[in-house]
This record gives sequence, structure tokens and C-alpha cells, in this order.
Amino acid sequence: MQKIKVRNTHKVNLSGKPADILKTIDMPKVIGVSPARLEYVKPKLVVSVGDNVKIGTVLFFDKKNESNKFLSPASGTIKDVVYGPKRSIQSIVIEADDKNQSEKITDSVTNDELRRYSSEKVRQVIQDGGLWSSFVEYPFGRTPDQNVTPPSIYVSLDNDEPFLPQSHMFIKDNESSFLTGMAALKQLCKDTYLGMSVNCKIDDPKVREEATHQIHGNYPANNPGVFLYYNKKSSSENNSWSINPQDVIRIGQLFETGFYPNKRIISLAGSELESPCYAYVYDGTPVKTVLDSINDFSSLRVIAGGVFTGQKISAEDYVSYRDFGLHVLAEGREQEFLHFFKPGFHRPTSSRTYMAALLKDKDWEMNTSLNGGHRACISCGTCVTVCPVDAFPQVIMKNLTDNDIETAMEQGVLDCVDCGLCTYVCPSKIELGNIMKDAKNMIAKEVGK
Amino acid sequence: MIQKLVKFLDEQEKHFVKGGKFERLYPLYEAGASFLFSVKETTQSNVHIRDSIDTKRFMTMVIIALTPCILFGIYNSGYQAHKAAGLSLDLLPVLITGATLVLPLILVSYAVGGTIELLFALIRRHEINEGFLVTGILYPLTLPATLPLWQAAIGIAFGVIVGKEVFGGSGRNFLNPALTARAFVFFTYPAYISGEVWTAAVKGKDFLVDGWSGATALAVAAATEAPLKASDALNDAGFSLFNSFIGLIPGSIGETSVPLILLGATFLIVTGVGSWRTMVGSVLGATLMTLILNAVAGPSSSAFLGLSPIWQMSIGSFAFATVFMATDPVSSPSLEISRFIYGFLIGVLGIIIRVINPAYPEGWMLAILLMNVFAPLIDHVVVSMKTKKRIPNVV
Repeated sequence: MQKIKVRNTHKVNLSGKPADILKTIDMPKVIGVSPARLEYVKPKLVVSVGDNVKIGTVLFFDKKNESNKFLSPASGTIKDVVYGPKRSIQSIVIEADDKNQSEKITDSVTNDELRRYSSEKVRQVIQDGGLWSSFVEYPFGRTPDQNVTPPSIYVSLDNDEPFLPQSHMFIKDNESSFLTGMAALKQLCKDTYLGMSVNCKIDDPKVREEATHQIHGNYPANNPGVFLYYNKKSSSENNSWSINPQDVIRIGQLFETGFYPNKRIISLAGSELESPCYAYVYDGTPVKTVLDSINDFSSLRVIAGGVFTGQKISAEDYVSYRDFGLHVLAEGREQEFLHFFKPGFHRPTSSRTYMAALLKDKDWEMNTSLNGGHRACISCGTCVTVCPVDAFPQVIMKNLTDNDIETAMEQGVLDCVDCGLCTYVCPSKIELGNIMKDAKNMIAKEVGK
Repeated sequence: MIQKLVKFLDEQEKHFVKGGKFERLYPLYEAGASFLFSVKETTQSNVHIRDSIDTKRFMTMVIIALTPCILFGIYNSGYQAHKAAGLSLDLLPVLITGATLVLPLILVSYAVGGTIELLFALIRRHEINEGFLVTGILYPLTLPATLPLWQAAIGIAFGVIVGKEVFGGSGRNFLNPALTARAFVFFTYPAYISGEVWTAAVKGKDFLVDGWSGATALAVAAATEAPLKASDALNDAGFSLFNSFIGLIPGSIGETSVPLILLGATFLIVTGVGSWRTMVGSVLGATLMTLILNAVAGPSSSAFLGLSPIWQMSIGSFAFATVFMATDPVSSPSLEISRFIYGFLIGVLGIIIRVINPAYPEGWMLAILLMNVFAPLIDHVVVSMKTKKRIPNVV
């Protein structure tokens, strides 16, 4: 196993870390999926209100890539299709029945049989099984085209972002599915890399054996994009793919059972929760059903995903296709009198300007406050010290402000993995991450992605 | 009480936001409200949480680091004035004299510079930048306590407008505004900022004690003729190494006390606000250049060339410039390696200007301003070198 030591990472200690407890949430009466929250997907509806669907029935697909299908996580009747601004499909609501009927997608195969499958066949099954969208193609973070063969596929078992599911929680009892999933990935392309954090708590020897790299470092060392950045030898690998380890398990389950896997483990985290833990939920479960201990969401922010990369969602939303965690934060903070003249024992910071910097092991209760006003860049250089892909966020930001995209690309804007650390540390509260993401989207449009 | 104030400010906000009666005065409201209270603004999308540091805290750290120098500057200005006039050297009268000399300069600097900053913020409709809190105090600390207030006012106005605002305000300026202001005064009113201007004649010029020259250590050292040694000449003129180090000598208000500047430097380095690379680079550059000059100094060359590094760093404004002026993040290069190179070159250039160029009594202001101009170039070279090492990721 090779070692990768990631420079420029940062440990963010937040309170509300989920305990290693797994609660199971039953199939709710009403479930929903949220097409509008899938970035870069233009959904084309296949079903209409009143249709009966089974688990695994195609609900919609991506207009740009018709083999990128999205399947129903429940059997029942389509109750409603909610449209948002510009007729975007906000959500598809399904009234679940008790029949639990599933569409058969493929024949169930064992790990050994799978190894004899051709790469076309594996690809076809994953696309029919609605799991094609779990692949992410670098550098633009899009779902890959249906016929592309990737230079390599990167899987990072662990995730250091507060707080996404820890590998030992979702691998447990799913070891064989994970290995089947990895076998499927190996049929897709020659080089698959599996990274495992040095702190990984998985015991299973077979899974540990499967890992090719051991990764050292705090957030975002285990981001697959960072893994790719540290592992690549030439620019031909820039278009590699990554996939979430839970999706590898789901691909494994798809091959093992032949049916669409409609359950996942999500983390329930944040200081606003009484008992943060993990939940085993059906896809499409309403957020309110999962977070049933909260009555009033008015002063809270619900984030689908981690606090750095997650999406801000409403409490009316659902646990949708790309969600692996729900994080609940307090919205804003009480205004403090002359805060900048105080020692600041309660102000978490990566810098050393508040006394809180001395309290290394404390878990901080953070909220969504900007903690400062928007100012011009003062070239303090902090963003450079936290960029995991050794780019210079402030230099790139200034080049992008000048519309000098070529120079920004040379300086590595396409290596950016959207970890958000530069935005987090900026004392001028510049949205560096969004500026770079906008630039990447512009370049993507330019090259027709 | 404080709750009431929060509520009052919240109620007033509607007049200042878009569509309100005083929409144009929003920067003024923002500056006032965010000075009194931490902001209530929240993140809009990812990243959902933010670090507690903001530019206000960043700049406050510099002001805290400067406080010992300000207090000592007040004391020393009074001390020199009383010593020259043969008055009592007790703490209280000295402090009172010092305060009457120094505080007006600080007030003028803040009032004039702050007004200009506010005007530009209102015209450009952006928030008032906290960087001025630092510029406004750094500038008077580089002046002699005797500078007429109107000259100080013109200086800071020039520094803020030409040194900063014409380029787009804080963050876009490439020159250190405080030093730009000082350079303006230096070249426009040379008689008031160099020569024997460092001691305030509190009782009038005729009442000085016998033998008081008022020259700075630099002037003494530069005037020493070979084969005399500059350090002996300094000692004879009353500048013992200890006094020069402690700072009880004539000079610009804030520059004289090396121990207190070191205290500020420690604070800046511990909090991470000032770049230790710039400071170390500057010390190394100055030491190296001084040693080179020492080595080439012959019997017929100026005695100033032979002055040892420890002397060079104790007299003049080397310490103050290195710690507080060179480390200004906006006018420095932005990367860590470039900051070291930048500091080193400031050290080398400052000593060259100070020792070799007879036209300028001190070198750091010009060395830093010159290196400010070169900072983007240093950054460019370093970024290009680092970029070449990347595996290209372009389309």
C-alpha cells in the first residue's frame, strides 16, 4: 500500500459529530426525489402524475446524456410533480404502497461471474440500474458520457468533511457488496485506485487488502480529487472519474441482486441535533421524517451533505440521489459588542488571532454567520496555505477577475476540487470557491461539457 | 442597554439599504454598525461555516502590536524636548509634553485620512476598509514630532489618495500608503523632516542647553570622517549602543525603541498577521550588506561603512520599517517564498541607500517603496516557477 501525505489540509473541529449508532427509518408513506438539486442535469420526465411505478422504474433522465437515468426508490403512485422557477422540476412526489414491487434490472451474478463480463455489459447494467450518475468525471465534476472509458477511477473510502458517513459505518455488513462493486469498476477501466485514510476504522481484512493507497492528512486529504492530484503522473489522467464508496456498494448490490438498491446510510449531524447519529433510510425519505426530533426549522439551516460542500435545502425536501448526510446548523449568531477587541475564547479560527486558537481539542459549535464583512483581498496569503492541490486561490481569483482564463488554467484552476477551505479561511470573506467553480463551469461550457 | 443599541441599529438599517432614504450613506452605516457589533450576515450557499477572523480583527492585531511603540514614542518625544530645554525629566511632565506633541499628529492623520477614505467609499459605494486604521497610525509614527500639522495633513491626504484610492482602494494599492504619505512630506518639505528637526524646542530655540545638537545617530555616523570610527563618534555624541537600542535618542516618533518593536514583532508573528519571512529576510539582507560594506571599508573610505551590523540595526528606522512597514500584506508579494526574497532585498537596499547615498539620511522608506513596485514581479516569477512544476490541467 502506497502512502500519500497531503500538504495544506486543515482540521475543523465541530460539535455535533454523529455517534456510531445506526437507527433504521421505515419506508415512509410519501417519498420524493429532487431533480432540481442535481447540478448539471437537465431532467426530462418520463412519468406523469397518476402513473404507477415500481422500485427501479425510470422517473426521468438527463437530456444531455440519455443513458443517465434516475430510478424510482419506491413502488407506488406518482402523486405530484412540483415545478419551481423557470419550470425546473423541484420534486417528484410518490405515494408509496405496501407492495414493494421491484423492476428486475439484470440477472444476479456472483463476484466471479462478474469478472467475465465485458466492460460494455458492466456499463450497460450500471446505466440501466440508474447508478451512472454516481460517477463524477474530472475536472468539471460532470457525469461522464455514456461511452467514454476513463483513464482511471478513484475511490476514497473515507471522508474528513464534517460530517459525512465514516467508512466503518457503511462498510459493516456490506463488505461483499463493496468488493463486488470494486470488481465491477475494474471491468470498466484498467486502473482503479482505492484510498483509505490512516484513521480508517474498517476491520475487514479483504477490504483493507483492496486499498491501494493510505492517505495522511486532515480535510480534504481524502477527497478523491485530491487523491487524483497526488497520484497522477501525466495530464492524460486529468479526466479520471471518481465515485463515492457508498455508490460502489450500491453498484455491488445491483449486480448481486439484480434489483435497484434503494437504501443508504446517511449521517445526521450538527450541534442543533439532540443525538447526532447515523440513519439507515430509504432514498427519498422526507427530511422532516428523518429529523423528527426538530419541530421548528425557522432559525435552522439544513444542509444536504457536509458543511463545506453540502447544499442548503429546505426542511420540505427529501433525502435525494446524491445526499449522504444531513447537517443542521443554527442560522446566524447573536451580535456581539466590539467583538474584535476581545480575546475571543469562543471564536473558532484557523488563524492565531483569537485566543480560541489555543484550545486545540475543543469541538466548536459553529453557525452560518459570515463572521465578518465583505472586503477586498488584502493578500494575506492564508488561502494558499490551505489549498490541497497547491494552487494559489488568490492569484487565480485575481486572474479570473481580469478574465485571464488561460493563466488561471495554467495555475491549476481545473485541479480545484471545490473543497471550500479557501473560502472558509478568507478574512475578507471572498467567495473564492464559487469564483473558481464559475470559471470551471464557463470553461466546461466552452468545451461543450 | 446593548440590546437596545442592537435594536436601534437594526431599525435604522432600512434607511441605508437599497431604496432607503440614505442609500448613499450605506458605507457609513456599515462601518459604524460593524465597528460596534459583529455582523449578522450569513453565508448564502456552500461554504456554510466561516472562520471567525475578519479584516477588522486582522488590522486590530497590528494596532495592538503598535501600542507599545506609540506609548514610548509619546514618552520619548517629551523626554527629548525636556532634555534639550533642560527641563524636569520626571515621568508625568515628560508624558504631558510628549502627548501634546504626538497626539495632534495622530488625530490629524486619522481625521484627514479617514475623511478621504469615507468620501471614496461613498462615491464608489463600497464598505470602508479597516486597512486605514493601520495606515492612519503608522504614518504619524514615522514623522518627527515637530512636523507642522498642516504638512502632516497634506501628507496623509496624498498617501491615501495617490498611494491607495486612485488604484481602487485597499487591496488594490501597490504602494504602502503610510510610506507614500511620508515620502511626499519628505520630498516636498525636506527642511521639516530631515536635518535637526527631531527635538521639539518647547521653550524656543534660544533656550536649548549648551552643546545640544539635535542630530540623529544616523547624521553623526554619516558625518564621521575616516580614520575615526563611526561607533566611537556615536559614543562621543551621546549615542551609546544601549541608548540607541532602548530608544532614548532623537528620531521619528515610533522608530527609536528596538525592544518594543521586537515585542510588536513577536506579537505579529505569534498571531500570524505579520510575515516572519519578510522580517527574517530583511534582517538577513541588512546584515549581509553591512558585513560586505565592513569588508570593503578601507582607511580612506567613509567611516559609516565600517559600522557593525548591530549598530546599523539599532539606529535609525531599520527595526520599525522591517516589522511594521515591510510586512504590510497588500503591498508585499503574496506568496511565502516571495516574501522572503522581498524582505531580503529590502534589507540589502536599505543599507545601501543609508550608508552609500549621501542624499538620503535614511534608506528604509525608499527601499520599501521600491520593493513594493517590484513585489508583483517577484510574485510573478515565483508563481511561474511553481506553475511549471504542475502537471498541466488545461483544455
